[in-house]
Amino acid sequence: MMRKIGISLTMRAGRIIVMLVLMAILFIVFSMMDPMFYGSRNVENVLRSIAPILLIGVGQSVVLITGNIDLSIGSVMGMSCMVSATMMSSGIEPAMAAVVSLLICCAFGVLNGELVSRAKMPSYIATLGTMMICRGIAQIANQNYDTGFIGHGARGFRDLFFYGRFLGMYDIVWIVFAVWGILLFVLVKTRTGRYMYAIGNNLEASRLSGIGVVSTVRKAYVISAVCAGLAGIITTAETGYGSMTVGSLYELYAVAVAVIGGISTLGGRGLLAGTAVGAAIWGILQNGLIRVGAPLSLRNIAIGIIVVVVVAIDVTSRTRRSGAN
Amino acid sequence: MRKEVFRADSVTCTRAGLKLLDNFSLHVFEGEVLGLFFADNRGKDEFVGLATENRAIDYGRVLFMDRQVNSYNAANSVRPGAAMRIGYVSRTEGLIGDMTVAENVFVMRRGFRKYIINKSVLTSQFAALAEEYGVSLDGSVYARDLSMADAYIIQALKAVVDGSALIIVRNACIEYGDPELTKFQQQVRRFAERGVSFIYISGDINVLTGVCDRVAAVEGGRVIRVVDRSEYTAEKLRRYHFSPGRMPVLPEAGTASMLRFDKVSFGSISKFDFSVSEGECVLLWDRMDRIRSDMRSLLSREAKPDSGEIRVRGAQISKSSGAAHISYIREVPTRSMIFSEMSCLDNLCIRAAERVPSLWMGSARRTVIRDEYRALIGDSIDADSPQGLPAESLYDLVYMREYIYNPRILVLERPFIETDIGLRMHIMSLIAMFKQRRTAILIIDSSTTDSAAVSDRMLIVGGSGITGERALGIEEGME
Repeated sequence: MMRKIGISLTMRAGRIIVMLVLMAILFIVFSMMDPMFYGSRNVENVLRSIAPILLIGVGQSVVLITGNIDLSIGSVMGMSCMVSATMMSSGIEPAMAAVVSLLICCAFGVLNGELVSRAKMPSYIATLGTMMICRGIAQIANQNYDTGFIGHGARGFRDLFFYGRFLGMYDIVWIVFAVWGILLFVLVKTRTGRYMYAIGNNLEASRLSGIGVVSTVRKAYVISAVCAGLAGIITTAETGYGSMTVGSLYELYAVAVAVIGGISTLGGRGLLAGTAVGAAIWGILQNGLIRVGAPLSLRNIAIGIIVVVVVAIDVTSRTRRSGAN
Repeated sequence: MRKEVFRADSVTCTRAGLKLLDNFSLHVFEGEVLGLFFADNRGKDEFVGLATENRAIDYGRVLFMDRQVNSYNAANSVRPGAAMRIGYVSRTEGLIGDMTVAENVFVMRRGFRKYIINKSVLTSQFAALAEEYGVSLDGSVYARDLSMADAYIIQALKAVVDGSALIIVRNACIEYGDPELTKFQQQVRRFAERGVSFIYISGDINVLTGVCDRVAAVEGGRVIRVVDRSEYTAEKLRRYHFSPGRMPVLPEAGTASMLRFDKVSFGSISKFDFSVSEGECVLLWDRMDRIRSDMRSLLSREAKPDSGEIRVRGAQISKSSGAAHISYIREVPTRSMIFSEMSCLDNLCIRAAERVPSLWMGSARRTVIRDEYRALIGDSIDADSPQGLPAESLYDLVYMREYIYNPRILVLERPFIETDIGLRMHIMSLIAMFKQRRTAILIIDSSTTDSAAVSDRMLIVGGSGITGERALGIEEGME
């Protein structure tokens, strides 16, 4: 029995280990091609560039674990960026603008959760609808124009979310790491987290076991929306203005990062540690390919191939296991 | 001399080190209905796979229509479907509900080559075919609207149209004594008279003796006895019936009402009026199997009754009150109630976490649960995943999960379906544990064969609600 347990644990962690090895290989390859790649300055920049993608990846992972998907995550990110930037450029306190943006995102998280769990709409349809709505809000936030500069009053805000450093790393890396840690704790150590896995694994059994499916799924979507909102605020701090195109295609990038990290698209399986590795692979690939002068198309192809292979492995392993069972 | 349709000669199949078919020998003649009774479920799937998919075997050979189609030497085997046309009738999944009967029979089959489908032509073709085989059904009816017996009949007819000389019937889960079963079995006999052979697999010996020319009993993956129609006697089949001496002793029911349905109407449920007392086990016998999903919706608080009210311990059921007192276990819980991606201990604890929110924070509480329930569940409790565990352990997991939670009311949906005799006895002992604790138990079942054995009372569900009530003893459940 103990041997069986050992084997099973290894299999579960196996995906992350494989991805860690892939990450290390990519890092070594790019370092050999460009010695500047492993310089501390570049590593810091890679970490900072990973931050928003890790945030939305983590949000998407939580939703995927419940067996659903959040296609609105990129548009929510764009909406958060535009709303916060519009408010800041109008002279409103950056802190206030950030809070209001996050509250609006939160409201869309609740809406997504209600549509999926209470109204029982397919998640990809419900969030496709809210994706359009959020993109529309991002566009009308500043009358169909990108915003102007968010102002010198937002210097502190930009320091916190982009330029500031603490213990040798950018503040934003610490912030995102903290969010990731909190969500990791929620998923692994709390009842809500276990319920999320249970719902993704077996919805009917969860319902019959007295698990509050509606409230748990709603929480997952709120987490996802808040993560997207935070990623939008980070983008505002990075660029110094609001762009209507922020977050375009990020819903797909979020899925890609989660899936590369071993989060199952079928729900109920995966660890946020994997999402972090997925985001790291994403960042290394993007940065490395840029540094060696590869075109954008090659970057997309590389990421696409990894996603397809990883999902194929996931589906095959599940089918084999259920067949063997 | 009668023509032999199917023969398995000393077939042995081993999977993952376990002999599923062990020197399995069987033959079926043209126009014969052969019953297969698996005393312990071992080899059932493998046999069906062998017959329908021509799976590889380790030893022996298989002949179909006097031609060798499978042998331990793979070079002598043929592709499935190339020479073996064997139909398979199993529950209702074989039909597409949103298609008409005629479309299911003619369009959804191998070799259908037309590009344009004319529904009226199909319907008239079906009428001629139905007349030929004595089937009284309209081809334009949607498959989803068929009764259980009709669904099986259409599957069999589809197999006949497909050219199957042999049809395997499995899990025809219609109650013994039910007119639906009689209807289906009469049709099977009509097909047999026209030369179609059947292998009829059932866990109820009474079902088999009602239609089969011979019954073969299989135990440990080996045919241990074949009884001819003329030899059906209680003595010869006795060992495959329940032994009353092995039944768990159940305590007397109390009088305090735990669950009360007060003129409840919802969907197929019409003015249900009954109560279940503390420590009592009540069987709600719905032979048409129509109320199950509606009862599930009501008792899992997904829906409210259209009229009437449900009371738990005297208080009206709602999301906030009463909900916490009910545990619900669906049919075949090894599939429907297991969290396959969680460890066995987590499976066990997930319900208890509702009452102890901090259960996942540290391992101390779960360790206590593990140590306490190891004696009941065994070493399976340490398994990292429930996948691959034997059925008994999975049933233990599901029932013990609710046992830890300690509900006032336990609702069981068809608890004995798709189980062998050993497993049935095990489930009975699990149900008895709840009764010992004086939990009120409501069983919703379309069969009385096993459920009646653990119930104190049976409520009979008819078209217009609960139409009758019978007190049950253990002896009556045996009948």
